[in-house]
Amino acid sequence: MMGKLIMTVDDSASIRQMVSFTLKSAGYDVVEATDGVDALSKLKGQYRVRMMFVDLNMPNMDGIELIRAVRANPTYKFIPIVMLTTESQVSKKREGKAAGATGWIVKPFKPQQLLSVTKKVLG
Amino acid sequence: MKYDKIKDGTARLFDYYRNWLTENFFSLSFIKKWKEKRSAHTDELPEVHTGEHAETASEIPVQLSAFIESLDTVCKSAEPDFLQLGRKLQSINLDTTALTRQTFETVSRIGGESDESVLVKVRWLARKSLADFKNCHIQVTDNLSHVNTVIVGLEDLYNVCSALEKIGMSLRVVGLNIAVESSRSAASLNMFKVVFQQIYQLSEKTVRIAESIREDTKTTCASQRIVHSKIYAGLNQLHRLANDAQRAVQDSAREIGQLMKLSLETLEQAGIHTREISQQVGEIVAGIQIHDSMNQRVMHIISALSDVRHLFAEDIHEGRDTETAGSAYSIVEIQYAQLRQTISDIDEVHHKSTQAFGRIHSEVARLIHSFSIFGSANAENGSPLEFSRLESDLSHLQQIIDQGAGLADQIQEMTAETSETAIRLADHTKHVREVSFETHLVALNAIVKAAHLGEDGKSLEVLAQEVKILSDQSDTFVSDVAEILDTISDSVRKIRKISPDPLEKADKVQEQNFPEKGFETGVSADVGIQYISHAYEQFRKESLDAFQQAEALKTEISQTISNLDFLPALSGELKRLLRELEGIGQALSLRTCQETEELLSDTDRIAERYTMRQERDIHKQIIAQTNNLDNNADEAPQDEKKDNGEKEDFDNNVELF
Repeated sequence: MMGKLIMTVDDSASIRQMVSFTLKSAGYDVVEATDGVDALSKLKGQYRVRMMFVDLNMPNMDGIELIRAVRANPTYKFIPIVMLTTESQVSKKREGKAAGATGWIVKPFKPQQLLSVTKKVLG
Repeated sequence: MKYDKIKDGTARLFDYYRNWLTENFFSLSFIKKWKEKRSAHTDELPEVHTGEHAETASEIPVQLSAFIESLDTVCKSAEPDFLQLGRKLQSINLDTTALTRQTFETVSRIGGESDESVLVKVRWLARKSLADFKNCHIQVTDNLSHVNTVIVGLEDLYNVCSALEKIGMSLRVVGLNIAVESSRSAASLNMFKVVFQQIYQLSEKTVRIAESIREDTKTTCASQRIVHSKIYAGLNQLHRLANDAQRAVQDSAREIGQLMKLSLETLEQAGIHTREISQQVGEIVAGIQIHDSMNQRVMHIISALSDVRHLFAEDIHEGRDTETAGSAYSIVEIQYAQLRQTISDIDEVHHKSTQAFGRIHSEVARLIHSFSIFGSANAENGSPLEFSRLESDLSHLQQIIDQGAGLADQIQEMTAETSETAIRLADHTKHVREVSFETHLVALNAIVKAAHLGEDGKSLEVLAQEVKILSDQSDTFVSDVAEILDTISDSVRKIRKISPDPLEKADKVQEQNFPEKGFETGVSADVGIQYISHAYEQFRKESLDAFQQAEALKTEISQTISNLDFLPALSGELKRLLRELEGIGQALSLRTCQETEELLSDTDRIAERYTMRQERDIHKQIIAQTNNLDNNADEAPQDEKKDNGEKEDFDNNVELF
């Protein structure tokens, strides 16, 4: 049985690995993207993504820019996007919120935190 | 003055760091191990003369370049190890999840509280067997009562037979009188000759039937008395067996209760172990993320040191290197602290991950231990004590039920005899009714003939009336016998009706509750024995399999703990680089002469690159220490505190907008 598809966007392979591991263990399907450009490319493909975990600082296209681009896409205008970053500055959070982020998790995360947020957001 | 103050302060700071490193970090064995393990990588690293100060200013940018390259290489080369650790964690988590699931399923199937659990089914079977047995006991008691009714009926029948015999005798006497009276005239003789013969024959027939019924009743009554005494004896035996069955079921219930208690404890323990494992997996997941954190911090260190290298190289060229040395020194000092903190965090992750894997190892061992307590997982032969006792109790119950079923069969055969007797007696009644009817006709015929004789036929008419009276008495007899026979037949029918085959009932129980193949039909307790044996055998195989899986898992965890050595090796390599950075810092400190204000403005620029609160805290702490300011950097900056005041069910690092 297929679970809900969630995208993790992070330039760190180990973070992508831990996010995928956590979500897959709970029955979700996961698609990985290495940066904003890669994420947008994959969103245009056959994937029907239900939620995104996005890093802030990434090469090519950062998390804020990615959120703006995703929100501009009618298909993903209301998709939950949670920032998953080491950044904890309030000014950055405000910037993310203004861009359309649904929530903010400061790394390192615990699996239960990620799953609690996912369940709350996806219902 | 200010310059001297800065110089003294930084010298004290480096002395402090040197002592701290000597105490906490510099374990040559780690570095040696790292070098052995990573000989391929270290061959590629540039050679740096640890702790040697640059003789000239121009050597500092060269040393910085070599340092930056080494730091970058060390961090990049760590990625495969982190990813491998992540894969191992996934594999271990998958295996522990499978093991805990198997433990839950296996124990639940045997002793869970659901209707599908073996123990629940067996307990139900034992109770059902006892109920069937008690029902059988009640049926036999009822049968005895019915057999008693049959005996009483037969005795009544025996008694009324003498009345029929008397009717037959009387009929003969009346017939003789008719013969005598009719011989007085030729006309009457001619008229009553046939009547006399008919009455005589009917009287003979009636007497024969009466004798036959009496004989048959006597024999049947005797045999039913034997049946009654046998059933009575059987009933006493059944009563004793019922008490034994009650005790056997109570014993079974006790063993089942004990096993279920054990299984629930095992499930509870398994739940605790599973939660603990999940928590430890969470710790490791958080630990692995040090890789991302390290990369970011190292990237910032490299960027800052690259700035220093460019700045210093340009100023050497322009002959202003002593002016920029102070600023460069401060930046290096901050990066030293950042790298030191990164190393400390890696060491902490190593410690926590080792501890977490160790706990998972222990929890797996505890899980399988609680499993083995429940079902003797590593036993090669035989069931554990509770299962053996339960099988023994059920076997005892089965023996009792077999005896009960044997008795029930005997009683069934005996009641069949009673049934045959009732049918035979019904045939006799039919014959009596025929004789009575014929007698009635003969009597009417005689009355008519006597009337034809007129005054000469007066006495014959009286006799003919007597025949009719006897015929009526015969009818009454038939009614009485029929009533008695109805009572007997009714009792026999009741005996048949309330004695269903207990084996048949047990088969139905099995079909309804135990659809699994592989069990022969039989009495319910027997089904329970086979069921518990089969289930325990399956449990034993599964638990043995789980035990082997747990052993393999424990080995895998131990191996992964051993593979965590890459963390202290990485830490060791970074400590080696930390010493190099210390050397560069000391070389810069000898050349520094800058004012504090300029120093602060230079360091503020690099602070803008930070992406972590920890980096900012360290930065502020170093600046504060350098300026002897009383600024507590442990306190989180207001900008990084939660500002929305929203109360979420999450930790501090999670916020939903």
